[in-house]
Amino acid sequence: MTDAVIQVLMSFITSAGFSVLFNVRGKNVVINGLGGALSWIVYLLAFDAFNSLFWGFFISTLAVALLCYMLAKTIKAPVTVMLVPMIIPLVPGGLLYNTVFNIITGNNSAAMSYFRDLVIELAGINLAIIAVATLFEIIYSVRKYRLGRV
Amino acid sequence: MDKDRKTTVGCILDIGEKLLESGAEVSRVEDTMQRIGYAYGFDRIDVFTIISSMYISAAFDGETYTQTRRIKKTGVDMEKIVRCNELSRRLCSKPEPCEELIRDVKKLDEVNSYSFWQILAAYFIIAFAFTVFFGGNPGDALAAALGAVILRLIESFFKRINLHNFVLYFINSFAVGLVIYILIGLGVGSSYDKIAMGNIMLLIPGAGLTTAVRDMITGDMLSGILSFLSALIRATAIGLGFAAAAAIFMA
Repeated sequence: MTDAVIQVLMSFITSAGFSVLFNVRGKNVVINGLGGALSWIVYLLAFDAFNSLFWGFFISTLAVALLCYMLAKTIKAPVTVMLVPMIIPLVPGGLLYNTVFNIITGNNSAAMSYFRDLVIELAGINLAIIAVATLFEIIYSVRKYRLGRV
Repeated sequence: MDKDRKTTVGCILDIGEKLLESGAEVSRVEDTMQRIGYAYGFDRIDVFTIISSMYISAAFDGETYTQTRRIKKTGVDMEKIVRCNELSRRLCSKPEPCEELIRDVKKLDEVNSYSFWQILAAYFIIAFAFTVFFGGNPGDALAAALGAVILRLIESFFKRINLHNFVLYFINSFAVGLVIYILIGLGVGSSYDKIAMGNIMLLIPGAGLTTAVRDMITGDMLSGILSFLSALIRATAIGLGFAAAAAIFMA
């Protein structure tokens, strides 16, 4: 439990920190940090519930992407500005390193298992973004269609 | 009037260029340019953008204005994306005359950015946090944070030399890998993997990966594949750099 709390705190810091590197200004830095913390909280809960890497990353990204699209509509800012910093804690940098390192040191079976996890995580993140982007595209076009008819 | 239209097309291309260089998705860039173009009364706007070049062809009353740009710089600057977005919204609802347009486009380059020291502090904090995140102890986290400061200094040094991305990221990662071993030798931190990961997260193109996938979803296959591959190559360079440093010290 303390591990989980520490991880969530660190997620806040890394997302906020990356917002600075990406030149996000003002209070959005804090919002992005909170989004980063949320992404890790949802991941921990989803992983606990389904005991699967894929669903953990999928549901977590789904939650964050939904939040970003809704926020983007209200504050009239591009989705990228929030989405990219918020999913920073989910970026599988450690796995990427372990994959390459094990290939270099000739430990092929370990490399393969890290690589499999990497593909699963990337698939989870990206499919969730695709799902939310598609959902909002449908909402917008339905709305446009209705306005067009009136 | 003919000259004005040429200038307008140039300004539209400028806005697109700034968006693309700041890490916006290709569909946003093309959409923005098209919307502004139609707001200025062109009959037809054709825009084609990939991550390394863009062209626009605007037709007005039988006359066609075509301009192209080669894009070399890529990075992430969210504030600039926000500003470009604001300007394009304003232009679409009320097109500005030429002189004002030129001035407003120039103003886009005057966005605030964080100072060298603020970025350095961000590097320090991010590497520290990621190492703790990956289960490192406070000593590891401190070593990672110090490594990140040196990483930033190396980065700003090598940025002046025009190196290819692969070589640049390999050198950066390799150098930080060596620094981490020196720090461990001095008694700061103990677990190379966890310390390295704190720094790797700073270098990994997380933004590039997600934007690449979104480019592919929206049908910009070429751009998506290009940025996905460049993210992959960058990741390989980073992994190789840190692994090479580890291999040297293990031998």
